[in-house]
Amino acid sequence: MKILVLFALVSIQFTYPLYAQYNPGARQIAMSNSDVALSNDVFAVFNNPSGLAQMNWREVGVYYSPAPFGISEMANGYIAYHEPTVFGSLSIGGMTYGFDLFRESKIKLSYAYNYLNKFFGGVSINYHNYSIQNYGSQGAFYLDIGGLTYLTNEFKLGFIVHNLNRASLANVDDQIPTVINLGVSYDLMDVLSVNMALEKDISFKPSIQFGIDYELIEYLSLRTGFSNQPSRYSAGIGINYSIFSLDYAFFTHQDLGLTHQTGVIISFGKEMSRTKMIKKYLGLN
Amino acid sequence: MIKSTFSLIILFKFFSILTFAQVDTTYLKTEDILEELIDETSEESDNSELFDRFEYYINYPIDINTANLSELLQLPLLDISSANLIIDHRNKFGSFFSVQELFAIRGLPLEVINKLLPFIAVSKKPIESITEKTADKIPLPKLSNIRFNIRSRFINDLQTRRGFTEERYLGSKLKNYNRILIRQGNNYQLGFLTDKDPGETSFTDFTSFHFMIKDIGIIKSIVLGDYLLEFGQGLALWSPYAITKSTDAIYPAHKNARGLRPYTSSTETNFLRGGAATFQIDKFFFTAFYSQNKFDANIESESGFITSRPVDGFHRTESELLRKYSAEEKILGGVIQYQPISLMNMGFLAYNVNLSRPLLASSTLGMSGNNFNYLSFFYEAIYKNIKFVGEFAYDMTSVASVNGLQFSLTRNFSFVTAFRNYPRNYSNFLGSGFGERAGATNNEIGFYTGFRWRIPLGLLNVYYDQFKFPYRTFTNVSPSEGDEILTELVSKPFTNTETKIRFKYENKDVSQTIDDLRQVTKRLRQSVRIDIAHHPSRTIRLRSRVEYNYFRISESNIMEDGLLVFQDIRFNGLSDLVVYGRFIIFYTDSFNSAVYEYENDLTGVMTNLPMYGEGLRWYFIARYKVLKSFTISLKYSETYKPKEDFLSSGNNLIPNNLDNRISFQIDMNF
Repeated sequence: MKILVLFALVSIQFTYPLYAQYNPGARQIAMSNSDVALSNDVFAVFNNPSGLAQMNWREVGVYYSPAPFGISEMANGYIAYHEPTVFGSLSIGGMTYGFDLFRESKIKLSYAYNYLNKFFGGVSINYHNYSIQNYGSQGAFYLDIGGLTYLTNEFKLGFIVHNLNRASLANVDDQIPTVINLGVSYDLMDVLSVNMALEKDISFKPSIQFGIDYELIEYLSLRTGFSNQPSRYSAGIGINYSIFSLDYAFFTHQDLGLTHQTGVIISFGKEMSRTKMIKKYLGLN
Repeated sequence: MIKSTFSLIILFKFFSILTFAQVDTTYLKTEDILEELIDETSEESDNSELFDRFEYYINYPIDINTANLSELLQLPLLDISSANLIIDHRNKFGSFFSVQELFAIRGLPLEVINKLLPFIAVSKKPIESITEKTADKIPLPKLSNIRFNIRSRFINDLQTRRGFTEERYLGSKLKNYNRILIRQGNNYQLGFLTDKDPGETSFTDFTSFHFMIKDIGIIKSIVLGDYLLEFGQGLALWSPYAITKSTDAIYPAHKNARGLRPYTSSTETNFLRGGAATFQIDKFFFTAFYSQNKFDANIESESGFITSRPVDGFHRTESELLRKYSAEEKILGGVIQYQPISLMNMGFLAYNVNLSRPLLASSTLGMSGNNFNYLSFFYEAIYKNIKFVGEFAYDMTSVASVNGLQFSLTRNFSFVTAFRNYPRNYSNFLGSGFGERAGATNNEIGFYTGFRWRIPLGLLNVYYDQFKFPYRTFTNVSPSEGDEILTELVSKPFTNTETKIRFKYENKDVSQTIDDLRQVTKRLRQSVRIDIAHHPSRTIRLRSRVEYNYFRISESNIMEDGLLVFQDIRFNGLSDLVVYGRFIIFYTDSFNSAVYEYENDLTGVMTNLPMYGEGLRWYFIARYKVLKSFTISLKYSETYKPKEDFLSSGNNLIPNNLDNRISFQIDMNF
């Protein structure tokens, strides 16, 4: 069985990018990863770390997807930590994916800088490791550079380039994809954020991603989104209580089916909703 | 050569005490203007002539206290109504004391002023005394007032192309360019240039020299050495580079001739070499010129006829060296211009071209023989807010003509139109008329209409051009036609944010082989571009672009599309350092749906690359002003196409999928 799954995995990875599927955060996945210009929680470290400089509080997050598309061998988990300092935001993230025969893991360190409360720039260094039992393991370092800027108090633009240095594994090119993602985020109301992004992977067709995050009441957020290439629909809810946020998301993939994932974020010193905290910190209103 | 250049640099470093007025913001503005004008050209170009054109105005800014309307109109982005506002203000309130005074003119758009500033100046004294002074006193060269502009550039591909590995190219990979301009006040200029392309053996493969005297008494200008001539609408006489259709709907449609200019570019063909002079006597301008210039030609060995004239200027292989300067042209001519009032200008020109070897009659170009004569009449008249321009050129066989008008109803609306008719048997030699095929000026009938309209949403530029080639062309086997529409809306939805939304539709005949038969088919091409530029602060500019391109030839079932996405950042935080970076990712089905990407480069280099296939490109430029008079710039760029096994073709083939290069430049101005 496990050998079969390994074959399935390897064949999936020849048709889809090797490198764990979707960027984490149950919030992000519920919005079909259209969050490049939003990036306002600790899991932004995995997509656009520049957004972390919008947050002046410490945050820890854990995310887990037990059985993507019903295959428990593809289980993946992420953890992320963010620490605001006087000289910029520092964050660290870790990922593990796979099972005993095949395992990927990643560690990343990010730095984000807040420039005049208007422009946020971020850099990440990633170390990505792949290991196949009885074959050994391979790792590579790569670099991400991103930015996020406020065009107005409500309208944001964000971009990220993943794997700028085109690192790859062994002697095969582009095993780790180089990706550019550009997007906008608009706060239609204080409690409703609309996000759109365009993602182009060097070896795949461009994907358009769309997502909405609606804070129904202080304790409850609803999210939904969709994207094409591959086409997927996603939705999720978030329960915010005190310093805890518990998020759940699911999405359907055109070919592969349904996936569930959950995450918990602990925000130290958070007193009001995420959007309000950021607006207060940046002096927007 | 390199060694001596470096020792020269070190020498000059100690002498650089004089100040130089050019500031970095000037440079950044020039860059933006050039981008607007070149962005639309659908050809790969590395052309510095366009840059030199603007550099000339940076060195010799137009004096808004003395310039007349047609001189002002030589600057891009200035339409008649805006130019009239400047002149009206001057007539009403007297001379300008500072260029900043333009900001006080009601109705003059802010973005126009900002783009003008690098190219204009204000003389210190009122108009009357200046003209008197220059009339009776000839300024002699004074050593104290001498300025040097020295530029030295080195470009090296990091990959080795096939021509080098198989030793077909005789020289080294390095591309080198050196230019010295020495100016004395506003009256004398001396220039010297050397250029070596990759693969050429000699660092002085191309050299150019000029000496210019201008604005002394009746002398408008005299140039000895290499020069350019531009008159009328360019049907008979123009510089090798002409601005073609661009997102600015108004400026390119009518040419603004600059007359006699020294040649400061490294394009190795189509300039004039010898001597020329323009004198002004009352309302008449007289220009006489003589040029004797060798050029590259492929020659049929038996008959000695010229079969073709390569214009790339490459002398890398044995065969390219063989054709180097293998023929000679002698050109002699004159121009008389009459300017009864400042708003009216007409002229007549005549010249003769004599080639040392005859051109072989070719079926498509229709030029043959070795002796050509041209006569041309051109006019320009401005009445209130209407400008009429036109030219009729006669080559002793047929008459080519272009006529047009431009008017500004209000300062918010300018309209331009031009009708061109270039017969198929008009043999163009030194001309470069406005048209679909840059510089062709024959076998084309076309009608261009465009307008620029300031609407509440922003600035709207629209043009529509319809063209017809009544005889077969180089690419098409039978008569063909086409049309194109371009609309662009530039708006400022928020402070510090500028968006450009552009749509282009092009329907054109192209030749295709269908069922073993070469035939003309309709090609449809549409493209949409969204570009957002944002300044979060004065020192950072972020720019994002998405461009999508769709291409269809229905007869042969070809349907293709292409997409280009880029993110760009410019940082000029420290007063003497500017850093640029751009990351581009693209996907197109083939070269047909290529997306052009104009990018920043070293000062004086224009790069507009077609991106096709699948891959990414990124570059990084740093320009650092070490001293007030000494600037160094560095660029690294690479294009990577993962699915290709090799890039480019022929001798330029790179045997892998990465094309990267490093460029370095030194600029000294003191």
